[in-house]
Amino acid sequence: MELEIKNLHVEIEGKEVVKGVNLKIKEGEMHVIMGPNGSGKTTLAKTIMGHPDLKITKGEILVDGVRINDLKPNERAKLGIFLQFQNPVEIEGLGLLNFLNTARGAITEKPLQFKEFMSEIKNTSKDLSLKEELIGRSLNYGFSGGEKKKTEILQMHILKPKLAILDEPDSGLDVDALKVVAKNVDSMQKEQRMSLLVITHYSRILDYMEPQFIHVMRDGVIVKEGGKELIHEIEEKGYNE
Amino acid sequence: MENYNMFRSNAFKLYSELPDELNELYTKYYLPVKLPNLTEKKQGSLEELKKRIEYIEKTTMIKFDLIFSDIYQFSNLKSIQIKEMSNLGDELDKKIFKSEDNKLAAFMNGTAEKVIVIKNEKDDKKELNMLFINCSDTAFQVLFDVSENSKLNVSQIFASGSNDSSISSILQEFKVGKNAKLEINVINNCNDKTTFLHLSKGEAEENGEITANFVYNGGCFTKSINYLDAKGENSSVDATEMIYGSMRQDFDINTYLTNSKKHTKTHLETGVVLDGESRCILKGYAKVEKWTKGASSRVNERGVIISEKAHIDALPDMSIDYSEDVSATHSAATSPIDKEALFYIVSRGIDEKKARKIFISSFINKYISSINNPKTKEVASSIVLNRLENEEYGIFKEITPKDFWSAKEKV
Repeated sequence: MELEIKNLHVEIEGKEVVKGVNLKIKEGEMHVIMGPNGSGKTTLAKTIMGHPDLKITKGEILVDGVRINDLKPNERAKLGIFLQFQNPVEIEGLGLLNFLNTARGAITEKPLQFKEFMSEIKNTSKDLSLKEELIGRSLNYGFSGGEKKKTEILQMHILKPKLAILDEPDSGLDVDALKVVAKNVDSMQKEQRMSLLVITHYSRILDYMEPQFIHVMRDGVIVKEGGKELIHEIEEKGYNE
Repeated sequence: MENYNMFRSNAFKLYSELPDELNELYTKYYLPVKLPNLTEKKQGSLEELKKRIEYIEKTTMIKFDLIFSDIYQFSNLKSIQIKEMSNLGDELDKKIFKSEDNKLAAFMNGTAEKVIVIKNEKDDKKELNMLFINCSDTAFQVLFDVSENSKLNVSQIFASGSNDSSISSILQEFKVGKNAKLEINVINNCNDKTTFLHLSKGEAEENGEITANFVYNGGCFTKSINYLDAKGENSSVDATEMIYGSMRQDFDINTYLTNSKKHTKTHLETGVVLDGESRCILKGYAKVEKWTKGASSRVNERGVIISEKAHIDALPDMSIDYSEDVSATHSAATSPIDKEALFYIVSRGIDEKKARKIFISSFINKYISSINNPKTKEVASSIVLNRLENEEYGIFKEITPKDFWSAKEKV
């Protein structure tokens, strides 16, 4: 899937947060957006997914050449876009398993055999070192920060998107968990030629991934672009230079 | 019959004279009891009723141990005594609540023809499924005597016996002996012409436990008053209320908890979902008595408003007398459906209409999950899911094995 963002301006409650972003992610490419807090990274991610409170005042979002500005979030998900949330919501009473089954059914529009579905969930949970007992519990309810992030990746595996946006997949993860998640995402991206946009503050997770493009975002715009070498520059000089 | 009619007439007179709300804390917060015309006692068709019972048993997959209707009763239990009202006379009026205690007691003492006494054996473990299916205005009175060291799990399902208007009402008492455990599940799924009245009193002796789950789904008007007392040392009361209203359904829900002795625990968790023009007043009151060292009490009320015209008044309250080492908390919160939660769900490919249903059913399931009896939990869940799908209540639909609880159990 190819994602193209052209001169995108986004407002939230009358305040402009994204101020003219241009970005093109071709099929199978891995891009990273880095930037300080409040630079508009999460707003950009949520806008691509179609958050109703975010108003596009100018510009467009194209998927495989088709404008998706007016599509609802569920319609974007059906096209194959997936957002891993920075702060996944907790919904007590909504079984993770039931939710995943419903979401998978909504996206693929064909029923999945329970046995096949369970087997996929169990295998992916094992790969992610995610405790099996969590899949029988309510969605993210009482989960640790790391468990929530792993559960998001589990959802990504089940929903098999063509474009995944990972918003701070590294926050809340310890060193071992970070390695597991990063390697898992990296291999899925390569195997399925999934387009990937990773949003992060820190370079740690990128030690285990192979992004081709790095973008630095500040005050609602992309101020610098380059290859993996840009990460080392940011590590040394920070975002202010 | 003449005596009964006179008794009934006196009770109705007292009923009409008593105020709707006697508790001075809540004189501004009550919904007046709506009663259909009571001048004539209706007589339903027995054949029609039996068909209805057969249908409910088939759809809920529950074989009821006790079935009560104003024109029919069935029991397959040996450990049950049923006493006729005519044998009790004034005794019934003093048995659980006095008629002067409140409007509901006056009405129910005046219309109950029997008091049903259920006493289990010491050290016994029993499950009891009861169906109350009313065609007119007869009240039921039930007294549970849960013996020492025993366990009793009771599920009470209330349904309508016909499509006519009626009053479904029950006055009951739970006496839970030392080291005994009672789980009582009350599920109201009456039709939209039914007024549902529930008045109860429960007491747990030393180390006794009461778990009470109330699911108020059906009926045009529901008034419930429960007094639950952790009476003996180390005893506990754990009450959960789930209210789901739509259209013009009204609910006036009163629950009074008391910690009477040391190291007692009381807990009330209430969840309300309101749609349409429905209204709900929640009164959760906890009293922690003097010299109750180590006691704890919690009252939490949560509401989700789906439509602009729905209305919730949540009034959690507490009274704590001086005692060492007591913990007591209360809270209330009401909001529309959480927008971020909704965005999360739709971002996974689910359309907004279905996402709303998922959010509501999750909220409700959180409360239904406190029902331990798996079959009763399935029934409660199925009633709610059917309502979410078809926007109808008072209906029993066949339980499908693919729903939430079944899937969870398979894990």
